[in-house]
This record gives sequence, C-alpha cells and structure tokens, in this order.
Amino acid sequence: MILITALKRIALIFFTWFTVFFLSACWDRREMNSISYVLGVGLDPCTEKELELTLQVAKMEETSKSSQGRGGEGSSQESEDGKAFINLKAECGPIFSQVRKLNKQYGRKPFFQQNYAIIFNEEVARRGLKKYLDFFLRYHETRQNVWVLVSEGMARDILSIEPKFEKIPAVKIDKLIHNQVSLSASAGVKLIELVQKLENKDIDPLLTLVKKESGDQDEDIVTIEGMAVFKHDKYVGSIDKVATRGYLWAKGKVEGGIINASIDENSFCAVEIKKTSGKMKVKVGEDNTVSVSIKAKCTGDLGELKGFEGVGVKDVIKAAREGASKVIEDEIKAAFEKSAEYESDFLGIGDYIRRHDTKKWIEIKEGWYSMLPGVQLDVKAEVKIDEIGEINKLENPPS
Amino acid sequence: MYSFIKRKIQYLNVPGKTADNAENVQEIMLTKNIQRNLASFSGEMGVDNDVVIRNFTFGRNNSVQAAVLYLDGLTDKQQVDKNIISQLLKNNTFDRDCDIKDIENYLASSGDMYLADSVDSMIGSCLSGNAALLFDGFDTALIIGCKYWEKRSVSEPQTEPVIRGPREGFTEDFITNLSLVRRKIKSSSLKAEFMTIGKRTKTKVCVLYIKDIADAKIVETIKGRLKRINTDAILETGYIEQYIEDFPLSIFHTTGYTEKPDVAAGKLLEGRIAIVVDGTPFVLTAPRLFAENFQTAEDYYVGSIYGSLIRILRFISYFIAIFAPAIYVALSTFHQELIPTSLLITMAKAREGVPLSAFFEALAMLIAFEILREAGLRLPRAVGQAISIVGALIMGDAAVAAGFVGSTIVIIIALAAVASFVVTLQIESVSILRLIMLFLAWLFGGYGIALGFLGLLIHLSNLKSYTVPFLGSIAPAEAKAMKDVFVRAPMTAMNTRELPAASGDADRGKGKRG
Repeated sequence: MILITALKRIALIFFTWFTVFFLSACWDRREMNSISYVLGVGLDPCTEKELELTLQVAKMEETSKSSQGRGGEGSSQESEDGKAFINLKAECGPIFSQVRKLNKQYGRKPFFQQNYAIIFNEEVARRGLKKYLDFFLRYHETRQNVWVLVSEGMARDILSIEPKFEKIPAVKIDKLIHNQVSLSASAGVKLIELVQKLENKDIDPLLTLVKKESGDQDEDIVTIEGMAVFKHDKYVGSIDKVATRGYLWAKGKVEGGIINASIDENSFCAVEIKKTSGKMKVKVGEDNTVSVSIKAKCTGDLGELKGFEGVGVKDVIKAAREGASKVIEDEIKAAFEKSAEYESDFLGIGDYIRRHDTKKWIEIKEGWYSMLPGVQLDVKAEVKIDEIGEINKLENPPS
Repeated sequence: MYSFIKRKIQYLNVPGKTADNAENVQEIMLTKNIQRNLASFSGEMGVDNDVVIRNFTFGRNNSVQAAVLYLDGLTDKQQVDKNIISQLLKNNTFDRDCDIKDIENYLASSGDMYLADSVDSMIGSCLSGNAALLFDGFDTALIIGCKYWEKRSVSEPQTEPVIRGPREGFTEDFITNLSLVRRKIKSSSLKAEFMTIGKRTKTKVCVLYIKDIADAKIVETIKGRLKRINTDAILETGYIEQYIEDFPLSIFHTTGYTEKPDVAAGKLLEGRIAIVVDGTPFVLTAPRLFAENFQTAEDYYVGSIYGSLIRILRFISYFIAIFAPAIYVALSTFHQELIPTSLLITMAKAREGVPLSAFFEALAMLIAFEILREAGLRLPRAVGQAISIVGALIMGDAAVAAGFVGSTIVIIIALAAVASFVVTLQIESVSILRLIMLFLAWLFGGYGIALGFLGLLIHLSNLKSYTVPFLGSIAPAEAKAMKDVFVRAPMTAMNTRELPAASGDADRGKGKRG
C-alpha cells in the first residue's frame, strides 16, 4: 500500500514536471545570425492579379567587419555598395510562396517582427487591399502596429532610396511618419487601424501617402504628405495636406503644426498649435437629409506676425484668432469636399449615424455614397491664443 | 510535491547523530607514585617529542619529588621557570604529608589552577597549553594555566574592507575574539557559553548572545545542534555551519559569518546569536535572513539616503548577476521581437560570423570567467592581478577580435561578473543560479527564466534559518521590518528590533537624537 502511494507520488511528480517543461515553452529557438530582419515590405504589381514582393532586410556583414576591423575606422572594409540594407526581390506569385522562395534563395528566414512598414503600390491599392492583406494578418510574425502606406510610383523605388541621415530607407520612412504626424501633415496608419476600418463597413480608410521626388543635389527624397483615400478597400484618389489636416481636425487628432493665416493682403500671422480637440455631430432629418456639424477647438501660441505695425495687442490677438479659425474651417471644408468628390466616407459620417440612429441608417444605407455630396456641413472653429512669444511690443520690435 | 522534496531534504538534514560521549576506554587514574604517573603519561604521549618534563625536588630537606610537564611552544616557559619552579624551590616547608591545597595556595600567583586526577585529563590540559605539576606521594596533578603561543595580532580583515568604520578584525585566537566583542558590548547580559567540539581537535566553541534580546528558543536550538555534532575535527566555522544548518544541501547559506567585531556586535544587538570558534578569524551569526546578504556594516555608518541607494543597487546587481546572461540568450534566440530594432541589428551584426550559438557562447564566457576568478583568487595577490589583466584584456578583447565570440556577450558576461561582486556574501549561489538560469533560457527561453525564477522563489520561501523564515520580513511581509530591507531607514526611525528572532526587549531606545 505504501509502495503504491509512493509510486503514485513519483508518477505525479514526473508528470507534473514533464508537463511544465515539455507541454509549454517558447517554441522554436533560432540564432540571431540565422534570420534576416525584414524592416520594410514593398508590394508592386507584376501581372493582372499577382504581386511582386520586395523585402528590405538589414545587411549584416558590412558593419560587423568594420566594427571589428581594428585598422582605419573600417574605411578599408566598405562593401561593394556601402549600403546597410539589401532589397530582396522575388518572382511574381502569391505572397507567402514568395517569402518562402526568398528563404530558400538566401538561406536565412525572413523575420517579420521588426518590420516597420508595408508599402502598397497605388496600382495594387486600386485593386483592393483585402486579398493582399490576408497573408500579413494570417502570418504569426506580423506586428499589428506596422505602418501601412500607399506609394505613388513603385514601392521598391521608395525602398531603394539612399537617405542621408538614416542608413535604412524603412527606418527613414518610420521617422518621417512620426515627424509628419507631429506636424499634422499626414497621419500614420497602423495595420490594426486599417483592419478595423475595413471590418467596419460604414467607414472608409485613409492610408499614409508616400512618394519619391528627385531632390536638388542629385539625391532622391521621400516625402510623406497627404493621405490616400479608399472606398471600401480600393484606392480612389489622394488628398493633400490641407484636407488631411481638415480630416484630423474633424477627428480631434491634430497633434501640432502651424496655422498660417493671412488676415489681408499685407498682414499675416502664424499660430503654433498646442492643444486641440474636435467633435463631429451628425443629424438625420425627417426627410433623410443629413447635416453634419463639426466643432474644432485649438489653443496655440503666436509664432510669427507680419504687417501688424501699430495695432494693439488685443486687436492682434483677435485678428489672429479669427484668421486661424477661418483657416481651420476651410481645411475641414476641404476634407469634406474631397470626401464628397471621391464618394468615400473617410470622415465616418455613416458610422456615426449607424451608432446613433440605427433605424435611419438602415433606410439610407443603400444610397449612402450618392448622398454624400448632398450632406450639409456646418463648421465652427475656435482658436485661443495662449502666449504671444518672447516679445510683447508688437510695433517697433527691438532692432 | 514540494513537501515531498522538502521531506527528502530534511531527512538529510538531521545534524549529526546523537553523540555518545561515554568513551569505552577505561580512564587511567593517577597514582601516588610519580614515576608510574610519568611512565603512563609518556606511554600516552610518547617520548622524544615536544613534551618537556622537568624533574626537581623541593620542600623540607628537598624531600618532595616533583615534575612539571608541558608542551614546548604552547606554554610560557618563563612563567613556568619564574612562577612555578623558582617559587617551589624557594620553599622549604612542604613535605610529602602536606595537603595539595596548600601547594595550590602557595602557587596562587602563577595563574589559574585546577586539579586533575586522571592521566587523560592531565594530557588534555597539557595539549591546551597548560603546565601539569606532579608530586610524588600525591594522586592528583596540579594544572596551572600558562598558555602562550605565537598569534597574529589584530589587523584589518581582508574580506570586509570598509571606507568608514572600525578596521579591527577577528584573529585566530579565541579569547582575543571574545574580548573584541566584549569591548563593543559592555553589558552583563552578553552571555558566552563554552563548549568543546571535535573528538580529536577538541575545538573550543563559544555561543554568544545577549540574554534579554535573543530568542531563548533559538539559543536552545543552536546549542542543541552544536551539542549533537559528532565529528573528530572542527577546523573552521564552515564545518560547524554545515553541521547545524537547517538545509545543508541548499545553495543558500542560512548562517552568516563575519570577520569584523563591529558587525558581530551589530548582529548580537539585533537579537542574533554569534558562534566563536577557536582557530579561525570568522565568527558565525545566526539566524541569517536573505536581506542580510545585501547589508553591510557601512550602510549604518553613512547617511540613510545614500545607504538606501546603495542597498537598492545591491538588489539590482544581484538580479543582473543571476539573470543577465540568461536574458541575453532568451532574447537573442527566442524573442528577437522584444529587442528594439536598432539594438537588434547591432547585436545581430556582432554575432555575425561567430561559430558558437548564443548559449554556448555565453556558457564558454561564463566558464572562462569562473576559471579566471578562481585562478586570481588562489594565487598570491601580485600574480593574481596579472591573471585578471591577462584574462580580461587578452581573452575578452582578443576573443572578440578573432571572431570567436560576439562583442555583446563579452559586455553581458562582464556586467554579470562585476554585478556578482557587489553582493559578495551570495557569490556562491549567484554562480550556481546563473548557470541554471542560462540552461533554462537555452532550453525554454523566457518561459524557462520565469520558471526558474518561480522555482527560486519557492525554494527561498521554503528555507528556514534556525526556525526563522529565510525570507523573513519580505515574505511573510512585515511593513515595519521593511525599514532595514530594501532601504536603510534613518537611525531615529530604527528604534525597534524587527528581527523575528528578537523576542525580548524590542525597544532600541526611543530614537531620540543626542
């Protein structure tokens, strides 16, 4: 009897430890030098339906040699092209099989967890994103917070620029997005946000727009400005940074930037945005007429004044407030007009109606896109000036 | 399941079987014939060695035959000459019929005296450095205490150097050590209880405690365990520690040790018990809690804010020392996604072309470090430093330059190694735990580390140091006791004794200044 109890106990201990160690653990050990770190993904069209994948991976040998090279600061160790990245290109085909093919070809497994950006070529975006997103959503290595962008021109060209400050284009793009978001010239869209909007059929997504421009000193510049407008999951056109900020005002997502307000021909003032809020309200009338009211609030500082000589402080502030409010109102109107033009409800008016007045929404849902141009807009912006800067004498500034 | 393992451990944990002190050898008693007594003494001790036998006669008409026996080098010869032999030779009143008490009285100025009536006890006394005086016609020997041997003077301890604080350290001499503690605590309630352990070494051991502070139960426990030690040799406190600890197989020692009288006095005042052992400059203190590993005497001598900062730093260092290599291996082989991209790329570039995998790289460097440490430790100091320079510079730098290991792992191992020196009291457990964690990280990644940490916590909370929980005041948590764990509260705030061991006199004084 005692023996059986002892045996039972030993078996219990054995199985407990067995379970603890073997049924649960972090799976799949791989050495750091057996994988290639994907930092950016570009998707370009090749045939009618298929895509061509460009993977930007960090290049390993180059700096390792120069960091270990004990001679002359690695100068003799420059590799052929001196780049810190390689763009791997696969053949036309389904995305996953391309990834695997690259794996075979280069001997290192692409590792997607450190990916910064997925860039869709506009042509691809026009075909609709859903079918191409499937791989990224299904694959366990994709991070949900990776940036999704639309490129004017080939995505692989965007990924092969040679940035001056960063070593890797994908990192440059990441920094640019952060910068542009802080200036409200564009908005960064993460994969998770895109998917949420695609899943919610009553709101259309916007994606960050990226394009390559030739710069002055024979260097290529990547600019991130404005947004790509989608109808459902299909790219329909783009909006510039004015309309982009209008969209951000309406959503209360403006993070910063400058409002340049021309008061009249001679005078001009710049207000630096500090704190903002925005609210959108939608009303559906008895006769199914939709009216939208957007209220935006902004607190800012005076950044620059021109042509206000001899005007009192209070008057200047009043003028600046009015001027800046008008700019904001115009921006929101611009966004709204674009929404009507592309028949894309990226402002989420339909979504608002569905959540607040579901019955009406079911009635008007069918012809909603054609109703968009007819929606009445009422915009009100309010600007407060906090500080007027380091100088307070507006006339005769110290010379 | 843990209780099962615990019982297994505790089974091994019975500190020595009950000693059967009743010796079977029949004692040889002293006789009235001095020649027979000397013969039996020489029979036991042998001849032609360091035993000195000086025969002389004294008393009325030199009628009393006497002999002084002592061991060369253990006894003060001058004292024997001046205070015993010369004194007796001067006398001419004693004869064979006088009382031995009279002689004892006559020699009272020579030192502490007692009588022995068996050859064994006489030999025992001689081996401790006393002189034995035999008289013809008496069946008792007069033992006179005149121990004197070469000893090291009180000097600064090597193991616990301080910037501020007393610099004296314990020596190998038992009585000196006791006196050093006595000089710190001039209280009659500081009790010293002597016992002799070791059948052959007959090592003197003293249990020191402050009667109205220390928990009587713990004092009894320790005394009981000491008495039960059945061994023939005690050469260092380490022997005793392993005999009386609750969990001798644990990698954590639940008995503290110190080389500094001020530390010993501090522990005694906290309600702990000190064990002084003859022949070693280390004094044991018990019970020892986990938090004590992170305390040093200097914490209490510097300001409380700086003291607290340093203490927190020690905790952090302890964790770095154990977990840094494991976390590196887990992150770089399992969880690359957790490393910031730019750091990851730098790390990956450093690993590029390295032949070993991250785990073996870390293991090789760790073993190299342990070898270097051991080599530097055992060699004479001057050579030891050369070893560390060769090891650190040549092995570290050259290994990276040659591409055997990545530069990241050198940084990680160096960090872990330096951090392990911050908590010197736990250097044993750190070395072992670091390897265990490394293995777990290699096999199971971050999950393995979490598992290992959990196991470590379970083990720590199971440990007991002489009936006190080893994690005491952290778990079970006591808010009041926390003021000397992660931080060192100002002196005025530390007005109560928080050690679970301290039962009596909890008040340390109202904590008023001045």
